[in-house]
Amino acid sequence: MPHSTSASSPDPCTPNTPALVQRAQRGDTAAFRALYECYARALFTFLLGYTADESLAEELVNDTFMRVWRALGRYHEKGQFRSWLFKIARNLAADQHRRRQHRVTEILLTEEHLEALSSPADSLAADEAIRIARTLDEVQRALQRLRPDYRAVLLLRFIQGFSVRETAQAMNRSEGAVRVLQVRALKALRQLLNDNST
Amino acid sequence: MDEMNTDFWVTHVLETLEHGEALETALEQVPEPLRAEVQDAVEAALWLSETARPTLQAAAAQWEPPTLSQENLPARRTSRLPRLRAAATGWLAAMRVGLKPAIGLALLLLFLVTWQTARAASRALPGEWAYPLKQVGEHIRFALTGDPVDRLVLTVTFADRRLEEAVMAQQRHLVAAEDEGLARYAQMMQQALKQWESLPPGQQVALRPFVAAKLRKQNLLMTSLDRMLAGKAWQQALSAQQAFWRTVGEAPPGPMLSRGTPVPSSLAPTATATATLTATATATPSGTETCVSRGLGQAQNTCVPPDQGKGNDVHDNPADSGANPPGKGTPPTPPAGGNHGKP
Repeated sequence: MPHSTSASSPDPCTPNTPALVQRAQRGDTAAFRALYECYARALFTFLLGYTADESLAEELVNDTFMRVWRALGRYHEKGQFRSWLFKIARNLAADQHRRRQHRVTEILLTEEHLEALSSPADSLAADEAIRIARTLDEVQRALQRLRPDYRAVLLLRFIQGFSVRETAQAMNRSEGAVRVLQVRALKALRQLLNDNST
Repeated sequence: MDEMNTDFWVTHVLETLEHGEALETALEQVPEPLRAEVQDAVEAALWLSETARPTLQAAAAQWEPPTLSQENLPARRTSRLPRLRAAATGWLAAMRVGLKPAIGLALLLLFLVTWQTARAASRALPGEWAYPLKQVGEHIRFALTGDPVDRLVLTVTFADRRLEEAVMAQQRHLVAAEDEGLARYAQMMQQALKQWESLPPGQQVALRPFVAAKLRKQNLLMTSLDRMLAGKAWQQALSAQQAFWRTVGEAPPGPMLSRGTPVPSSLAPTATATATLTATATATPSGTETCVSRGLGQAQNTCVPPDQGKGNDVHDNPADSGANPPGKGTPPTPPAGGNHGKP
């Protein structure tokens, strides 16, 4: 069975995005709300992996869309809207990271997971929840130990499924630079995973 | 170098996997020494795709995005700038496509017109359409020249051109153009005379050889004109030239020859003129006027002083410095044995 590194998560709003963006630029809040509903969860996923902090990720999603709403007048269709959105999000996250000097904390099982565990009938669900929690912890530990730019390129390329071109636009780099960066990031990640396993 | 090769192969394998190839198949293409390192990097990518991604997406699935209400959004001015910019961009793009060949063609035409106009102007004679352009060019050059020496050089050079125009005009039987050329020449030589007189002696000494060479050339041009046809204008031009000779203090050129007479190579500016083709003449050191025959078929070799007749040729001894201006003084003794003006 062939392995695939590409995400099966293409841009969910692609057919409608240009029209929604144009309407939002003219002040149509309903169009802007539609864009928010399209991209908010994907943005949250990215920011969760980038910051390893759920509350911070939620705050940054909100900040990003506020920033987008104010800056829509300056947006021109040189690149994709999604790339532009994630670029703003990444810049905000980098600013927050510098300010807070965030440290990775161990992901604890959530209250929901504990409630699930208390019911013997749902022992499978509880096991699954624990597994997910532990895996998430592992993922975030690994990602947080990477340099911010390594982290960003891996999240965009292999979690969000951005193409090299979209990643280049989101990171404000050339496509060649992105290719080199992703290889370096993968090597660094591999080293970290090997270190964790030993 | 090794790292660059590894980078290349990691990228290559990842792209191959994105196209649906199996990992083992993709790795077979990698050179053996690099295979292990490439495989490590690719497996990290696979971990991200197969482990990290679903885990993060599952965690994000638990998150409920806050509802975005209109109250949350600050009031924003609707900007027409994107539409204006898009419209302008469209126009500019269309103009660029359409205008490029048009601009190129226009530039080519402009170049051709300018080139041909410049050529026409350089050859123009008084009265022709391009002559004013020629004059404008000379005026501009003169206006841009501030140095007195350079100005004098320009004046004498432009005087050359006037004489050349007169010669060309006579050849083409353009009487008015010929007269105008000679008149302008006289005017310029008078101007050059004033400029020369305003120069300090040191600069005059330095400039003398140049000016003398120009005067000799002008003298030859004058001889190529049929002075009988040129008439009064020719006389005025000659007077101006002679006045300049005297002032410059250079040795005079040989006797004025008629048109069509080949200029002898021995003709040299000396104090005593020794040219003997059409006339014999001697300029005495005392500055006695030298009268030469007209060389136009006159039987006699006697000369009539300029102030008594028409078209007399008189060369003063420049060493005289104006003591005996043309037309003044006793008529010379006719030379013995002489030529009678025949070439």
